[in-house]
Amino acid sequence: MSSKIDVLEAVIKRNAELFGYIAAQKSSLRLIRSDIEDIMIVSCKLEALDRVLSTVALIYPPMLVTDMSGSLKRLRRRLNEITLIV
Amino acid sequence: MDILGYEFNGIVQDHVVYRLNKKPSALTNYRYLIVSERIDDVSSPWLDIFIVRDFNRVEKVLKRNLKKKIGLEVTLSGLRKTDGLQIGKWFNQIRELYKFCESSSCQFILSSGANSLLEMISGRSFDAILKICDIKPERYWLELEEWLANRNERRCFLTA
Repeated sequence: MSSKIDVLEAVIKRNAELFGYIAAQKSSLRLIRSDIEDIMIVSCKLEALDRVLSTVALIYPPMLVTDMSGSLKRLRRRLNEITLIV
Repeated sequence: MDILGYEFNGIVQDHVVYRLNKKPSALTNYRYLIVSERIDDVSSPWLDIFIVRDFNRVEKVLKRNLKKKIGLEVTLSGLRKTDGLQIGKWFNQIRELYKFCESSSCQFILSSGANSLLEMISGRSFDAILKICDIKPERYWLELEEWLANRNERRCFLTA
C-alpha cells in the first residue's frame, strides 16, 4: 500500500506543478482501498476531473486510466471484470 | 486516433489503421497512413501525417511548403519528463498550431506517442487535454473521423 501512497503523492505533486497548489488542494485527491495489486483507485472532486486526467496523462513514470465511475461499487465490479478477462 | 504502442506483428487487424514510413510498392489489404517527421517530406504528395515536434521552429517552412489536407500531429509522450513551465509553453504552441491547421485546411491530430501499453491515453483523458487547449472535443473527433475517412477513400485496398 505504501507504494500506492507514493504514487498518489506524485500525482498530487504533478497536479500542483501543472495547475497550481491551490487548484491541487481543491481537487481533493484521495486514495481508495483497492484489492487489485497493480490498480489504484483514486477519488477527486468532479470539477477537478479534467485537471486530474490531464495530470495522469502527463506524469512520469507513465500510468494508464483504465476506468472511471461516479459510484465506487460499480467501479469495483467493472475492475473485477477487467482483471478476469486479462 | 492513437498509436497502439506496439510494432506490427504480421497479423492484419480489422479497424486498425497502420502507420508506415514510406508508401508501399504494391496494394495492401490493410488501411495505412504515411507518417514522417522530416521537414523535407512536407511537400511530398504521398505524405498523410507530419509529426510536429516544435511548431515555432517549423512554422515558416510549413506555411511555404505545406500540402492541404495533410495531418499535423503532436504527441504527448515527450512531455511526461518535462517540467510544468515547458508544458505550459507546449499548450500555448498547441493552440497556435490548431489555429494554423484551421486556416490552412489541415487536420490537427493529438496522439499519445505511446511505445508501450502504459503510455496509452484514454479517450476521456484526451478530451480533458483538448479542453485545456481550448479545442472542443466533439468537434475535434468529428473532424478527425471525416479526415480519416476522406484519406482512405482515395486509396485502393485488396479485400479478402
